[in-house]
Amino acid sequence: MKGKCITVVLGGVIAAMMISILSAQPEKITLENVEAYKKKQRPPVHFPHEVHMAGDLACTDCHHRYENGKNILDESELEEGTPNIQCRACHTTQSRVNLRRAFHRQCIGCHRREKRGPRLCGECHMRTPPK
Amino acid sequence: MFDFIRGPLLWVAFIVFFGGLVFQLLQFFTLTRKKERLFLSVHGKTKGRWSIESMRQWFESLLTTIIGTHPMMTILTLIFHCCLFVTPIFLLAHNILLDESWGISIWSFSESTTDILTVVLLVCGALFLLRRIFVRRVRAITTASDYLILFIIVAPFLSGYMAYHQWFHYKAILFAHILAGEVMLIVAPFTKLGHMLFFFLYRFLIGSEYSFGQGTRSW
Repeated sequence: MKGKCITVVLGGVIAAMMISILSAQPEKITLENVEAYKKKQRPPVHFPHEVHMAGDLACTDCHHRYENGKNILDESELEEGTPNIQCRACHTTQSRVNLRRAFHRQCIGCHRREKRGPRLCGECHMRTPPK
Repeated sequence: MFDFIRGPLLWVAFIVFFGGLVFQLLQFFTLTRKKERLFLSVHGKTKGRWSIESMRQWFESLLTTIIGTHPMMTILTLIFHCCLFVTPIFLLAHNILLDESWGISIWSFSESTTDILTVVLLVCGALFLLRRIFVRRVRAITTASDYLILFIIVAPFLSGYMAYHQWFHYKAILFAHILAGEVMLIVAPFTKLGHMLFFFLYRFLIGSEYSFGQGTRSW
Protein backbone atom coordinates (compact mmCIF):
# COMPACT_ATOMS: atom_id res chain seq x y z
CA MET A 1 0.00 0.00 0.00
CA LYS A 2 2.79 2.36 1.02
CA GLY A 3 4.76 1.49 -2.10
CA LYS A 4 1.71 2.20 -4.27
CA CYS A 5 1.28 5.62 -2.67
CA ILE A 6 4.91 6.52 -3.31
CA THR A 7 4.56 5.46 -6.96
CA VAL A 8 1.44 7.60 -7.41
CA VAL A 9 3.02 10.64 -5.73
CA LEU A 10 6.24 10.21 -7.70
CA GLY A 11 4.26 9.83 -10.93
CA GLY A 12 2.31 12.97 -10.10
CA VAL A 13 5.48 14.93 -9.40
CA ILE A 14 7.09 13.80 -12.67
CA ALA A 15 3.90 14.61 -14.62
CA ALA A 16 3.76 18.06 -12.97
CA MET A 17 7.42 18.65 -13.86
CA MET A 18 6.83 17.61 -17.47
CA ILE A 19 3.78 19.87 -17.74
CA SER A 20 5.70 22.81 -16.26
CA ILE A 21 8.60 22.24 -18.65
CA LEU A 22 6.29 21.98 -21.65
CA SER A 23 4.17 24.91 -20.61
CA ALA A 24 7.34 27.00 -20.22
CA GLN A 25 7.92 26.67 -23.96
CA PRO A 26 6.53 29.47 -26.06
CA GLU A 27 3.66 28.65 -28.41
CA LYS A 28 4.59 31.09 -31.13
CA ILE A 29 7.95 32.71 -31.65
CA THR A 30 8.42 35.77 -33.80
CA LEU A 31 11.71 35.38 -35.58
CA GLU A 32 12.81 38.93 -36.17
CA ASN A 33 16.54 39.22 -35.72
CA VAL A 34 16.77 42.87 -36.65
CA GLU A 35 20.31 43.26 -35.37
CA ALA A 36 21.57 40.27 -37.38
CA TYR A 37 20.63 41.71 -40.76
CA LYS A 38 21.81 44.92 -42.38
CA LYS A 39 18.39 45.67 -43.79
CA LYS A 40 15.12 43.90 -43.25
CA GLN A 41 13.97 42.48 -46.58
CA ARG A 42 10.93 40.40 -45.69
CA PRO A 43 8.35 40.39 -42.90
CA PRO A 44 9.36 38.43 -39.76
CA VAL A 45 8.40 34.77 -39.44
CA HIS A 46 5.79 33.84 -36.85
CA PHE A 47 7.07 30.40 -36.02
CA PRO A 48 4.47 28.01 -34.51
CA HIS A 49 6.72 26.34 -31.94
CA GLU A 50 3.85 24.39 -30.39
CA VAL A 51 2.94 22.73 -33.71
CA HIS A 52 6.47 21.34 -33.90
CA MET A 53 6.47 20.25 -30.28
CA ALA A 54 3.13 18.49 -30.65
CA GLY A 55 4.52 16.30 -33.44
CA ASP A 56 6.97 13.45 -33.19
CA LEU A 57 10.02 15.72 -33.20
CA ALA A 58 12.58 15.64 -30.44
CA CYS A 59 13.92 19.01 -29.25
CA THR A 60 17.37 18.13 -30.53
CA ASP A 61 16.04 17.45 -34.01
CA CYS A 62 16.12 21.21 -34.45
CA HIS A 63 18.17 22.61 -31.57
CA HIS A 64 21.77 21.62 -31.87
CA ARG A 65 25.34 22.20 -30.86
CA TYR A 66 27.61 20.03 -32.94
CA GLU A 67 30.96 18.72 -31.82
CA ASN A 68 32.77 16.24 -34.07
CA GLY A 69 29.59 15.76 -36.06
CA LYS A 70 27.55 14.88 -32.99
CA ASN A 71 24.79 16.95 -31.45
CA ILE A 72 25.89 17.38 -27.85
CA LEU A 73 23.21 19.87 -26.80
CA ASP A 74 21.65 19.11 -23.43
CA GLU A 75 17.88 19.52 -23.56
CA SER A 76 17.89 21.04 -20.08
CA GLU A 77 19.54 24.12 -21.59
CA LEU A 78 16.46 24.79 -23.69
CA GLU A 79 14.72 27.38 -21.62
CA GLU A 80 13.07 30.46 -22.99
CA GLY A 81 15.24 33.53 -22.76
CA THR A 82 18.56 31.71 -22.58
CA PRO A 83 20.71 33.63 -25.06
CA ASN A 84 23.09 30.77 -25.82
CA ILE A 85 20.39 28.52 -27.22
CA GLN A 86 19.17 31.05 -29.74
CA CYS A 87 20.15 30.34 -33.34
CA ARG A 88 21.88 33.70 -33.75
CA ALA A 89 24.27 32.87 -30.89
CA CYS A 90 26.28 30.70 -33.33
CA HIS A 91 24.87 31.54 -36.76
CA THR A 92 26.10 35.10 -37.11
CA THR A 93 26.48 37.16 -40.28
CA GLN A 94 30.14 36.13 -40.33
CA SER A 95 29.61 32.39 -40.13
CA ARG A 96 29.56 30.22 -43.25
CA VAL A 97 26.06 29.05 -42.45
CA ASN A 98 24.79 32.50 -41.56
CA LEU A 99 21.50 33.13 -39.81
CA ARG A 100 19.46 33.35 -43.00
CA ARG A 101 20.93 30.12 -44.38
CA ALA A 102 20.53 28.41 -41.01
CA PHE A 103 16.81 29.16 -40.83
CA HIS A 104 16.17 28.35 -44.48
CA ARG A 105 18.09 25.08 -44.46
CA GLN A 106 16.68 23.97 -41.14
CA CYS A 107 13.04 24.79 -41.91
CA ILE A 108 12.74 24.27 -45.67
CA GLY A 109 15.13 21.32 -45.61
CA CYS A 110 12.96 19.48 -43.08
CA HIS A 111 9.69 20.46 -44.77
CA ARG A 112 11.08 19.17 -48.07
CA ARG A 113 12.21 15.87 -46.56
CA GLU A 114 8.96 15.37 -44.67
CA LYS A 115 6.86 16.61 -47.62
CA ARG A 116 4.81 18.80 -45.30
CA GLY A 117 5.01 22.33 -43.99
CA PRO A 118 5.58 25.56 -45.90
CA ARG A 119 8.26 25.80 -48.57
CA LEU A 120 7.36 29.02 -50.36
CA CYS A 121 8.79 32.40 -49.31
CA GLY A 122 5.47 34.02 -48.48
CA GLU A 123 4.16 31.05 -46.54
CA CYS A 124 6.56 31.88 -43.70
CA HIS A 125 7.32 35.55 -44.37
CA MET A 126 3.68 36.58 -44.22
CA ARG A 127 2.69 40.19 -44.74
CA THR A 128 -0.44 39.62 -42.67
CA PRO A 129 0.58 37.78 -39.48
CA PRO A 130 -1.48 34.67 -38.70
CA LYS A 131 -4.06 35.05 -35.91
CA MET B 1 2.49 19.74 -58.64
CA PHE B 2 4.75 22.32 -57.01
CA ASP B 3 7.67 19.90 -57.12
CA PHE B 4 7.06 19.29 -60.81
CA ILE B 5 6.91 22.93 -61.93
CA ARG B 6 9.82 23.87 -59.69
CA GLY B 7 11.85 20.81 -60.58
CA PRO B 8 11.69 18.99 -63.95
CA LEU B 9 9.72 21.68 -65.76
CA LEU B 10 12.25 24.34 -64.79
CA TRP B 11 15.04 22.18 -66.21
CA VAL B 12 13.02 21.66 -69.41
CA ALA B 13 12.49 25.43 -69.67
CA PHE B 14 16.20 26.23 -69.28
CA ILE B 15 17.30 23.46 -71.66
CA VAL B 16 14.79 24.55 -74.34
CA PHE B 17 15.77 28.20 -73.85
CA PHE B 18 19.54 27.76 -74.14
CA GLY B 19 19.24 24.87 -76.62
CA GLY B 20 16.88 26.96 -78.75
CA LEU B 21 19.28 29.90 -78.76
CA VAL B 22 22.18 27.68 -79.79
CA PHE B 23 20.01 26.10 -82.51
CA GLN B 24 19.05 29.52 -83.87
CA LEU B 25 22.67 30.62 -83.77
CA LEU B 26 23.84 27.57 -85.70
CA GLN B 27 21.00 27.93 -88.19
CA PHE B 28 21.93 31.56 -88.76
CA PHE B 29 25.52 30.64 -89.63
CA THR B 30 24.33 27.77 -91.83
CA LEU B 31 21.93 29.96 -93.81
CA THR B 32 24.27 32.93 -94.22
CA ARG B 33 27.74 33.19 -95.64
CA LYS B 34 30.39 35.82 -95.93
CA LYS B 35 30.17 37.99 -99.02
CA GLU B 36 31.62 41.25 -100.19
CA ARG B 37 30.09 44.20 -98.46
CA LEU B 38 26.86 45.08 -100.21
CA PHE B 39 26.41 48.52 -98.76
CA LEU B 40 29.04 51.17 -98.59
CA SER B 41 29.17 53.68 -95.80
CA VAL B 42 27.24 56.82 -96.69
CA HIS B 43 29.99 58.92 -95.20
CA GLY B 44 32.87 57.17 -96.88
CA LYS B 45 35.91 55.90 -95.11
CA THR B 46 37.41 58.05 -92.41
CA LYS B 47 40.99 58.09 -91.21
CA GLY B 48 40.83 56.01 -88.06
CA ARG B 49 38.25 53.59 -86.87
CA TRP B 50 38.07 55.21 -83.43
CA SER B 51 38.82 58.79 -84.49
CA ILE B 52 36.57 61.59 -83.26
CA GLU B 53 35.39 62.16 -86.83
CA SER B 54 34.34 58.53 -87.29
CA MET B 55 32.63 58.54 -83.93
CA ARG B 56 30.73 61.69 -84.94
CA GLN B 57 29.72 60.07 -88.22
CA TRP B 58 28.58 56.95 -86.41
CA PHE B 59 26.56 59.04 -83.98
CA GLU B 60 24.99 60.97 -86.84
CA SER B 61 24.07 57.74 -88.59
CA LEU B 62 22.34 56.61 -85.39
CA LEU B 63 20.12 59.68 -85.57
CA THR B 64 18.69 58.40 -88.83
CA THR B 65 17.46 55.28 -86.99
CA ILE B 66 14.62 55.02 -84.47
CA ILE B 67 16.88 56.78 -81.95
CA GLY B 68 16.52 59.99 -83.89
CA THR B 69 12.98 59.57 -85.19
CA HIS B 70 11.36 58.29 -81.97
CA PRO B 71 13.63 59.20 -79.06
CA MET B 72 10.96 58.70 -76.38
CA MET B 73 10.19 55.21 -77.65
CA THR B 74 13.93 54.47 -77.70
CA ILE B 75 14.35 55.53 -74.08
CA LEU B 76 11.24 53.60 -73.03
CA THR B 77 12.45 50.47 -74.82
CA LEU B 78 15.92 50.80 -73.33
CA ILE B 79 14.54 51.10 -69.80
CA PHE B 80 12.17 48.17 -70.42
CA HIS B 81 14.95 45.89 -71.65
CA CYS B 82 17.31 46.85 -68.83
CA CYS B 83 14.63 46.05 -66.24
CA LEU B 84 13.75 42.85 -68.11
CA PHE B 85 17.24 41.40 -67.67
CA VAL B 86 18.49 43.05 -64.51
CA THR B 87 15.44 42.45 -62.30
CA PRO B 88 15.18 38.63 -62.36
CA ILE B 89 18.95 38.08 -62.36
CA PHE B 90 19.65 40.26 -59.33
CA LEU B 91 16.45 39.45 -57.47
CA LEU B 92 17.13 38.43 -53.88
CA ALA B 93 14.41 35.74 -53.71
CA HIS B 94 15.71 34.06 -56.90
CA ASN B 95 19.29 34.17 -55.67
CA ILE B 96 18.38 32.76 -52.28
CA LEU B 97 16.80 29.80 -54.09
CA LEU B 98 20.02 29.44 -56.10
CA ASP B 99 22.05 29.65 -52.91
CA GLU B 100 19.91 27.07 -51.12
CA SER B 101 19.93 24.68 -54.08
CA TRP B 102 23.45 24.97 -55.47
CA GLY B 103 25.33 27.10 -52.97
CA ILE B 104 25.90 29.80 -55.59
CA SER B 105 25.69 33.25 -54.07
CA ILE B 106 25.03 36.15 -56.44
CA TRP B 107 24.95 39.81 -55.45
CA SER B 108 21.36 41.00 -55.28
CA PHE B 109 19.43 44.24 -55.16
CA SER B 110 17.35 44.96 -52.10
CA GLU B 111 13.78 43.79 -52.45
CA SER B 112 12.49 47.37 -52.47
CA THR B 113 14.79 48.18 -55.43
CA THR B 114 13.57 45.22 -57.49
CA ASP B 115 10.04 46.15 -56.53
CA ILE B 116 10.55 49.57 -58.15
CA LEU B 117 12.27 48.04 -61.22
CA THR B 118 9.29 45.70 -61.66
CA VAL B 119 6.84 48.60 -61.51
CA VAL B 120 8.93 50.48 -64.09
CA LEU B 121 8.86 47.44 -66.38
CA LEU B 122 5.10 47.03 -65.94
CA VAL B 123 4.52 50.70 -66.73
CA CYS B 124 6.66 50.36 -69.89
CA GLY B 125 4.71 47.22 -70.83
CA ALA B 126 1.41 49.05 -70.32
CA LEU B 127 2.64 51.90 -72.54
CA PHE B 128 3.64 49.39 -75.24
CA LEU B 129 0.14 47.95 -75.06
CA LEU B 130 -1.50 51.36 -75.30
CA ARG B 131 0.79 52.22 -78.21
CA ARG B 132 -0.29 49.08 -80.05
CA ILE B 133 -3.94 49.89 -79.44
CA PHE B 134 -4.03 53.63 -80.06
CA VAL B 135 -1.20 54.51 -82.48
CA ARG B 136 -2.69 53.90 -85.90
CA ARG B 137 0.51 53.01 -87.80
CA VAL B 138 1.46 50.52 -85.07
CA ARG B 139 -2.02 49.06 -84.88
CA ALA B 140 -1.98 48.52 -88.66
CA ILE B 141 0.88 46.01 -88.38
CA THR B 142 -0.20 44.45 -85.09
CA THR B 143 -1.58 40.93 -84.98
CA ALA B 144 -3.01 38.90 -82.10
CA SER B 145 0.38 37.23 -81.63
CA ASP B 146 1.94 40.60 -80.79
CA TYR B 147 -0.46 41.03 -77.87
CA LEU B 148 0.23 37.45 -76.81
CA ILE B 149 4.00 38.00 -76.91
CA LEU B 150 3.65 41.16 -74.84
CA PHE B 151 1.52 39.25 -72.33
CA ILE B 152 4.03 36.37 -72.18
CA ILE B 153 6.89 38.74 -71.39
CA VAL B 154 4.98 40.83 -68.85
CA ALA B 155 3.16 37.95 -67.09
CA PRO B 156 6.14 36.72 -65.01
CA PHE B 157 6.74 40.25 -63.74
CA LEU B 158 3.09 40.98 -63.00
CA SER B 159 2.62 37.68 -61.18
CA GLY B 160 5.97 38.14 -59.40
CA TYR B 161 4.90 41.57 -58.21
CA MET B 162 1.58 40.18 -56.99
CA ALA B 163 3.28 37.24 -55.27
CA TYR B 164 5.82 39.53 -53.55
CA HIS B 165 3.01 41.70 -52.21
CA GLN B 166 0.99 38.55 -51.40
CA TRP B 167 -2.12 39.69 -53.19
CA PHE B 168 -5.00 37.26 -53.66
CA HIS B 169 -4.20 33.56 -53.20
CA TYR B 170 -0.44 33.56 -52.58
CA LYS B 171 0.27 29.96 -53.53
CA ALA B 172 -1.77 30.10 -56.76
CA ILE B 173 -0.12 33.37 -57.79
CA LEU B 174 3.35 32.00 -57.12
CA PHE B 175 2.60 28.87 -59.17
CA ALA B 176 1.36 31.13 -61.97
CA HIS B 177 4.58 33.16 -61.62
CA ILE B 178 6.86 30.14 -61.99
CA LEU B 179 4.80 28.78 -64.89
CA ALA B 180 4.75 32.17 -66.64
CA GLY B 181 8.55 32.38 -66.35
CA GLU B 182 8.95 28.90 -67.77
CA VAL B 183 6.59 29.63 -70.68
CA MET B 184 8.56 32.79 -71.43
CA LEU B 185 11.86 30.87 -71.50
CA ILE B 186 10.45 28.06 -73.64
CA VAL B 187 8.91 30.27 -76.34
CA ALA B 188 11.63 32.96 -76.41
CA PRO B 189 14.01 31.40 -78.98
CA PHE B 190 11.21 30.49 -81.40
CA THR B 191 9.07 33.62 -81.44
CA LYS B 192 9.58 37.35 -81.91
CA LEU B 193 11.24 37.29 -78.51
CA GLY B 194 14.15 35.70 -80.38
CA HIS B 195 15.25 39.26 -81.18
CA MET B 196 17.29 38.97 -78.00
CA LEU B 197 19.68 37.00 -80.22
CA PHE B 198 18.73 38.08 -83.74
CA PHE B 199 19.05 41.78 -82.97
CA PHE B 200 22.82 41.36 -82.54
CA LEU B 201 23.21 38.93 -85.45
CA TYR B 202 21.27 41.04 -87.95
CA ARG B 203 22.58 44.41 -86.89
CA PHE B 204 26.24 43.47 -86.58
CA LEU B 205 26.82 40.55 -88.93
CA ILE B 206 24.40 41.01 -91.84
CA GLY B 207 25.43 43.68 -94.31
CA SER B 208 22.58 46.12 -94.80
CA GLU B 209 21.71 49.76 -94.48
CA TYR B 210 20.63 48.99 -90.90
CA SER B 211 24.00 47.56 -89.88
CA PHE B 212 25.67 48.99 -86.83
CA GLY B 213 28.92 47.26 -87.62
CA GLN B 214 30.86 46.12 -90.65
CA GLY B 215 28.34 43.41 -91.56
CA THR B 216 29.78 41.09 -94.19
CA ARG B 217 27.37 38.17 -94.11
CA SER B 218 24.36 37.70 -96.34
CA TRP B 219 21.57 35.17 -96.83
